[in-house]
Amino acid sequence: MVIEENVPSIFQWFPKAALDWAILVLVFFLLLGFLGMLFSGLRLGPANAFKLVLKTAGQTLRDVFSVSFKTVWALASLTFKEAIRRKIVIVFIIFVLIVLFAGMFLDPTSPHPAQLYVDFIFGSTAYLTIILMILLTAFSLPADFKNKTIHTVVTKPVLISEIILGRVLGFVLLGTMLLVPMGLVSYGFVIRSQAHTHTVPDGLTQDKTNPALERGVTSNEREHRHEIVFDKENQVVHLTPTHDHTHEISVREGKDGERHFTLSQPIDMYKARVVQYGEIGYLDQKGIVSSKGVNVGDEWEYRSFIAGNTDAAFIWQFENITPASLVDDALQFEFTQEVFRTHKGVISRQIIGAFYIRNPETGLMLEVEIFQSKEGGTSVFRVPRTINISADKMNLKSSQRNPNGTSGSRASAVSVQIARQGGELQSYPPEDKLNIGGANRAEFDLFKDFVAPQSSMFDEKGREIVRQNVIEVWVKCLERGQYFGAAKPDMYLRRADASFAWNFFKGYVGIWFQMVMISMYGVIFSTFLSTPVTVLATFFVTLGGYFHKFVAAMGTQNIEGGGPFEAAIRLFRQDNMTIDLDMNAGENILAKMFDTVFHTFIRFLGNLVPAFDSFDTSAYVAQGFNISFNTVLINLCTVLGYAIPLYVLGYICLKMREIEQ
Amino acid sequence: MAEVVVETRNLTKIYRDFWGRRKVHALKSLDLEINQGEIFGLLGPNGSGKTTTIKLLLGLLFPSEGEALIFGKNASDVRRNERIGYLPEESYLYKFLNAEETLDFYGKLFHIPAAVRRQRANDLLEIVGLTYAKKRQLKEYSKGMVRRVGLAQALINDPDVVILDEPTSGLDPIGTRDMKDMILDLKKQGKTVLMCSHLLADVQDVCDRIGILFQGELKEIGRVDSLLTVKDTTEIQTSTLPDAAIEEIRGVVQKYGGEVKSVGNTRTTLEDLFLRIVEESKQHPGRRAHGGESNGN
Ligand SMILES: Nc1ncnc2c1ncn2[C@@H]1O[C@H](COP(=O)(O)OP(=O)(O)OP(=O)(O)O)[C@@H](O)[C@H]1O
Ligand SMILES: [Mg+2]
Repeated sequence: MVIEENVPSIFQWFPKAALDWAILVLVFFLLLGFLGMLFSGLRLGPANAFKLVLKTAGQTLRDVFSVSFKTVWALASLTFKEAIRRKIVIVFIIFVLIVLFAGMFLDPTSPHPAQLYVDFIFGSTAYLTIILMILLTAFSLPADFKNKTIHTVVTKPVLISEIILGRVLGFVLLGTMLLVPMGLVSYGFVIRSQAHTHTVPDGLTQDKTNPALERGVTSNEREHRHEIVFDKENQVVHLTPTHDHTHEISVREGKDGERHFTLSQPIDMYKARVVQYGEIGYLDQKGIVSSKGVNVGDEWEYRSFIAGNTDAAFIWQFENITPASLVDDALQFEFTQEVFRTHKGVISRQIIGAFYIRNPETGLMLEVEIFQSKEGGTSVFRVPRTINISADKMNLKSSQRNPNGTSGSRASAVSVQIARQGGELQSYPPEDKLNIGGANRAEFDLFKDFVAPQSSMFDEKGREIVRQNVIEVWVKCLERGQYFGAAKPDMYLRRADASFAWNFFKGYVGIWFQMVMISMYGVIFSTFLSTPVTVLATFFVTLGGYFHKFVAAMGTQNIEGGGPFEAAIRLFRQDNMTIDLDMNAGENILAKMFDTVFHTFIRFLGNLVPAFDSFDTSAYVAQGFNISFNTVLINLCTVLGYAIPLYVLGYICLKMREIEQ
Repeated sequence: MAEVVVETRNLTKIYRDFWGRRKVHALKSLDLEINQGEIFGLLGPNGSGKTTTIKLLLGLLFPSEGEALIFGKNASDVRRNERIGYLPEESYLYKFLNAEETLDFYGKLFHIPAAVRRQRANDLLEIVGLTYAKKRQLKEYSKGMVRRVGLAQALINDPDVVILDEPTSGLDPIGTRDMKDMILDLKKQGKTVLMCSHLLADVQDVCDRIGILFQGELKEIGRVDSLLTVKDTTEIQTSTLPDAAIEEIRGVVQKYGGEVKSVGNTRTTLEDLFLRIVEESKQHPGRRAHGGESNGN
């Protein structure tokens, strides 16, 4: 699964991010000023050094803001023209050749052909663009210095800041000009590569168990077949989807009574699923809320498990459930589960589970479906807007049935609330208030009966958060001795699909962001480094960028066993990393303090490299998930967040440099 | 007294290596003033610091000490560049552009409106005689042709101060002649020109004042005509005379107690001066001229 969190809206994200950014940038430039003072202080004495740094800062601020767009544009066009005249178009030709030959090397038997092709195309576009940008930027300014062409530019009324911006803009334009045709070619390639249809060579045969149905199988194309089921009126009943797609099929009866089947081009192959995640909680075997499920042995397991035929359950809470969340007038949940068996179970079927919805405030609960697990697959549950219990074959559950267990357990966070209120489970509204009136009602409305207009929950840090329009979703395993395993992102609400073409475009925007970042870093490094060193430096920054999450994680203090100092102590004393460090307070504080300094430092360093891994959104496209507009906006802001200080830094570097040397 | 346009005060440059160790003391406390409307020539043997002086003036190098001002402003004020034209030692132009695009590009940096830019580019190409080749990329140009584009580039903004580093290097005799005419033309338009060269004839022909640099020190400065006046000789130039006439003149000279030192065609006297100063400087290091005065000696 590519995304595991709901993307915050830009408005939620921005204030905190902007503050963090401002602090970091301030610290960075203060540090720079301090270093500048230190070095010039050696030569000029402290007072003069201070004056110099102040003057430089003032000049920097002035020059950085008073750029003329005309000049920047002239310089950008020059950069652009240079690359074009140096036959950069060849890169595009290479790209087309790669794409043309790609078909030969991609595995034709892949069960997820769309994913394979999209992955490949995005990978090759990104790598090619990145390598190209690293090389181009590394050659451009240093060549300007080497040929001294820069002499004729800086002796014109041109600000150093304009030179930096002009270069970057030129490369960004160039990259854009390359990415647009690459994108078009890729899109055509991806769509065309999967074009196929099937025939039904052997016709249909009578179904063995159901006299009303006829069955058949399509021809083998691209290493797969579909099974088809028709009724006697030549109406299609079913076409088994495989390899991530289906076809539309129609049948026409010829004069001789022979049937001719026509299958459409693949449909549903390229999707942009819009999904919403919830918060997860667990009930243990006695129905008591716990923060985790059971561990079935693997120490680093991603999923937690619940035991079958007990009160154990997974609980997800989803917020903002409104009519806009409906697809075909129903809420559609998709659930991926892992199954852990302690015995084989019944051979002829999979493990049985149950899916419920519940109103977190009233406690009204509905058993929507009893399902067979799909190991490694995805089960789909539909909850219609208007629920008729008898017609839909659903069972109403009163969750009051066990006041010390299930009923009080809303979700993991809720237990915190309960504990705070004196450890006693709160009683829920008496039954008559629930207005189910002794199950006299058969009709229920999804929004009125199961969605709480407001419900408070606690987040991971125990902060209370009031959420709007919340629904709860429960899953239980119904077989003794069997376990279901799931993690938070395994259950999601599937909303109406977005357009794949648009998603593809957004994926390319992700590459564009990476390209912009690399041209920034390349230009900045090339202001003071020679070509080969610039290539290396940009390369390492890029590499670091792809491991950004890893570096950033080192900078957080949430790693079990503590930071390097604490970990070293544990290693030395052979302490387990889950127990608290057994030391006297002083030692303990010291170790933690060292680690805090270390973490802050790493976090600082981690932020110097761009978050390439979050710009790279191609996995969403490949796996068929929609890239939310918020993701794009957040990435755009992040790019700008890097671009602004980098630009200033580039200005300072070039300004400090004696053009001649 | 005319306005001072170019000024250096105690200008010193020490080239250092990567570790900050001194390598070359290229310019030693240079004081120089160049007035509005003047053509000033900077002379000196190779490596004497001429280019260094120009680069310091333009901000391509940072002074180790002292100041280099044009229009009273130092190089960090880029607005002053609007009125400066610079022809570098070698033509540092973008080889992938053609002559027309080159002029257009530099014109844009001055924010010259497109129509004016085109007009001026055409005029300048006409003046430097490259109209016939204006669509060809500079990488196909000969050295002299690139030099001409370089000059056109330096004049694209109709500058008030023109700084030329060896303007005639790489030019053919006709080109050299044209260049000198152009410099004189600039003077007529009231522009100030600072040029450096070691082609002494060029300097003698066009410069009002010269300064001679030797190993980073200013050794001589003054007006060309007075510098070249040799006080104890009188020179009479006539069209070529028969031997008999020369004998007769000899007699006249002796009658007035004079002595005829030489008879023949006139030599480039600047060359004399130049060589003498270099020779003297080698024998008496330390003697130096001080700039700023408009009449030397
Ligand atoms: N970038 C540099 N690094 C170190 N030393 C330099 C550098 N540029 C020039 N020099 C030294 O400074 C001195 C003056 O050089 P400059 O280029 O000013 O001479 P010049 O008078 O222009 O000579 P030429 O007539 O050959 O052009 C020389 O000794 C030279 O070696
Ligand atoms: Mg020189």
